[in-house]
Amino acid sequence: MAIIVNMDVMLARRKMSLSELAEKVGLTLSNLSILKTGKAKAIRFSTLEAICKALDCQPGDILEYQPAQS
Amino acid sequence: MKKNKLLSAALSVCNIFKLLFIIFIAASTVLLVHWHFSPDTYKDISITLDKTSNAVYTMADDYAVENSSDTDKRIHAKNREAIRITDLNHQSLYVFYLQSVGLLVFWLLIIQEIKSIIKSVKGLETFRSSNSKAFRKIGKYCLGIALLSAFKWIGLEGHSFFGLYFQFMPLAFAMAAFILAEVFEEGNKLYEAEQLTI
Repeated sequence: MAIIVNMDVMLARRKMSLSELAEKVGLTLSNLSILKTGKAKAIRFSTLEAICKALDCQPGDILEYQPAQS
Repeated sequence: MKKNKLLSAALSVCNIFKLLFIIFIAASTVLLVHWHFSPDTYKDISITLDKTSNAVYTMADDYAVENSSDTDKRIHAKNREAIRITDLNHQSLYVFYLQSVGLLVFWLLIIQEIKSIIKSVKGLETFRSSNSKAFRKIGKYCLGIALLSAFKWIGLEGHSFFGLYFQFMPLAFAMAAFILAEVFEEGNKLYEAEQLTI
């Protein structure tokens, strides 16, 4: 997929574990893991907002566009 | 609640039909075996062959089993011909039996698939890949029914009859089933996408 999720980078910067973030955001660990590994098909604005609030960052810090290689 | 009642009723109807088909298959097999041992029992039984059907299209009832008390061997009324079972040669009767049982087996398999679909709908798991596969199977079984009812062969000692038939309804049902399979496939894709929306 052309959209890359850089959540692990932000988690490392904030020195926060995935389970801690899951607790703060109100998502299950498995769903957050799906998002982190790039297996998710879509992300809700509400989820993005909650993650940005918890990590104190912008959506662009988490999501990155990379043109797909044909 | 209303939906569940309807689905439960449909499941019950499926179970009744399933039981009836199994009984018909068993009865046909028992009759065939019994005919081997005692063919004289069936000397008054005749099947009516309808020759009006042609190679283009027919919706006529092909076979009707009836008890013939007439002394005439064959009754010609329009294009219908009553043939005593004892006059049929063995191969012809086997083909007739296999055709009939094959049709019943296909119907049985279709009912089985419909039952699994109804159960999944009852369990609120409508758009799943299993249902798409079930509809595809139903389509194939309908094609099987069309194939089995596409010919008729009656072999007698002196002469024989072979007819080709084009049955529209099984083909229409097969097409509808394949379309529904595609619809359910799309539904399943949407469900999976929804599941992966975080």
